[in-house]
Amino acid sequence: MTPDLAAVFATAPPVLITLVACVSLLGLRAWAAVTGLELSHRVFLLLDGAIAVLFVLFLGLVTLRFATGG
Amino acid sequence: MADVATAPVRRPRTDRYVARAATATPVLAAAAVALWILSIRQADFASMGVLGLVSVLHVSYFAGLALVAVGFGLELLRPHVRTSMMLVLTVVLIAYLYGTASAIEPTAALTSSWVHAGYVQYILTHGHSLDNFAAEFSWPGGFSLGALLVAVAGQHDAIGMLRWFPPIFELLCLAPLIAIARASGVSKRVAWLAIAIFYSSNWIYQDYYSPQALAYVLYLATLAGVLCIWRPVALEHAAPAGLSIRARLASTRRSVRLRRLLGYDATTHWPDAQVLGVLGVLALVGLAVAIGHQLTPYALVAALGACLLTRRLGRPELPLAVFLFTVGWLSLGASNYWSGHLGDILGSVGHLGSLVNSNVSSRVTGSSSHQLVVEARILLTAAVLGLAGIGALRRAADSRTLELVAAAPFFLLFFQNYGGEGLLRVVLFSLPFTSLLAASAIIPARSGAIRPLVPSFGVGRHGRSVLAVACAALLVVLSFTTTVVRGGNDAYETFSLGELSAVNFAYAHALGGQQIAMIAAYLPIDQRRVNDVRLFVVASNGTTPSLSEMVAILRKVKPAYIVLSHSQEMWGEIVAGYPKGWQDVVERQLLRHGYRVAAQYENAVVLERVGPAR
Repeated sequence: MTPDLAAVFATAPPVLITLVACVSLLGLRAWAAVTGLELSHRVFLLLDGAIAVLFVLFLGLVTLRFATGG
Repeated sequence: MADVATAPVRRPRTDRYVARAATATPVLAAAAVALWILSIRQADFASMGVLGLVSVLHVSYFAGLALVAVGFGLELLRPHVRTSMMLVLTVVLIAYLYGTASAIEPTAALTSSWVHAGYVQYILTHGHSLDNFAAEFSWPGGFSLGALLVAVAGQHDAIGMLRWFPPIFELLCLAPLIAIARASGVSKRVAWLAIAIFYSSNWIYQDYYSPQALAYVLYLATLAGVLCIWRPVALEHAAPAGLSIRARLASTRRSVRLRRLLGYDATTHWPDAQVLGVLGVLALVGLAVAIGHQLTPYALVAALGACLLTRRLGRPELPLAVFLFTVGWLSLGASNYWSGHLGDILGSVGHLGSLVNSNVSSRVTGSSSHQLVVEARILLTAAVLGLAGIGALRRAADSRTLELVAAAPFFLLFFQNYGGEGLLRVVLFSLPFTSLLAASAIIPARSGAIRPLVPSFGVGRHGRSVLAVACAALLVVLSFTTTVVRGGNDAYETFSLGELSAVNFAYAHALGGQQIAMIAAYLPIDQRRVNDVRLFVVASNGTTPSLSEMVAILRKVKPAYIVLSHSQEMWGEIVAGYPKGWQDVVERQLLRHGYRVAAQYENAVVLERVGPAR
């Protein structure tokens, strides 16, 4: 990754977007589980996969932000 | 039948004890209140010595506190513990341990509480927090709420809230503490004993006007909500009694599977809509904690994780969401805090040796009286933790939630020593749960799928009386020690009205951008004109310069005003090891080198720079 690209990813919007997306999916997952919404195993796997990817992406962006600004 | 009806009925001896206890407890509580009022009236703040608060307390204080402990013991003797009576005794205990200083001292103690009032004032005036000023301002949630409350109350500043904040805050904690204790799976008797132990041993002075106090209430409320909603699903393969610890650990490892981390090992009988609603509220509370304080959200994540691992949390999304909020705020909202010096912040990660030194060893310094107080604090903390360890061994339970939630905050120490205060904070986060375990050491539960690690033993036919005496004795020891160690720094952390007037004089006369200086930061400073008037502290960051160095530094800095006071004098004698009357020497030197007395108050003097000042 070039320093310019790293600086772009280390700005606030990418971190905020992944944060909001991840929390929204977590909320959706909790709502589906608590209300007993009938989702197929495949959909649950997709949901969990998306949360995991966003979570890792969020941690990566935060680390990048610390590395460039700290 | 007639013979039976007319025969004299002799009640068992225990019943007679109970009947007497029922009438005695309210009388003891009333007597304790009367003695507390008497002790307040007898106390003379001006005569406070090097041992702090305890040096001005009348013997009636200790007599009343002992009556409260005896009241607890008598109430615990009853077959059915009365909630109302326990509530009354707890409130009286709070008044004793947390209200006495507020009642005796003429104005709020602790510099930090005044500084926080200043931050609230800044937000109230400017409508926003201040960048690159202080670390606390990067987590402005608590200050913003404070500003809102001040505005709603129609006040001009938060100073009116400072003095009585500790007892009010402790009363606020009582509701979540009762909920945690009752939902933790222990009996009502153990729950109330644990609450009494919590208040009797909480010497950690974090209940002053501060964002961490607010965050602590929210931390307790979140854990109370979680423990009230979810119950553990019964273990499929509970380890039988008599197994070795290694075999039990192996059994525990086998039972911790992915389904537990997904929340399937916890269940609830609450309606779906209610669970969803409370979950949403708890997530919002987590967000409030994340923007309100640096350390508490990490403790909350650790505690929620412990609940999940021990089958007391059914939704793994909650700790994940709180973690995201916490790291998200650190990255986005608190960038002023870490930007440019992340290395310094993360420098202590994994350095456990320096952590023990900064949190424990380096604090045992100063005069013999100060060392006595610090050592008593360490002993008190070790005693409660030791008792909790015994409780963990003795009790049967359905889950090991209390043990794991009590231990979880200690993981934070691996990452941050928090300016040498990490251990204090971690012990405070753990205290509600260590108190429950400590109470279980005296009255252990006998039923539960998880069997005790040590065999139980009886205390004879007078068992209940012995336990009541043991509880009362424990509470007497803990509460007496807490009285001594909690107020152990009061000789230099409390302020007279004269000292407050001196600080107010300096603020009233200093021009914008000028400096007000002091030797040590033991004054009611920063409560106004934040970022307008600058402050200069000679002995900052734990340094203790010699008297000649102090004068040289002040002559070089040339502050417009210097405030010398009794509290700083006491700090010098007790902590820094300066000779008695050291401040007079400094004052005389300064009067010879460009300063004059601008104002003189009881216990304080304001020196003004003659000529150009900064």
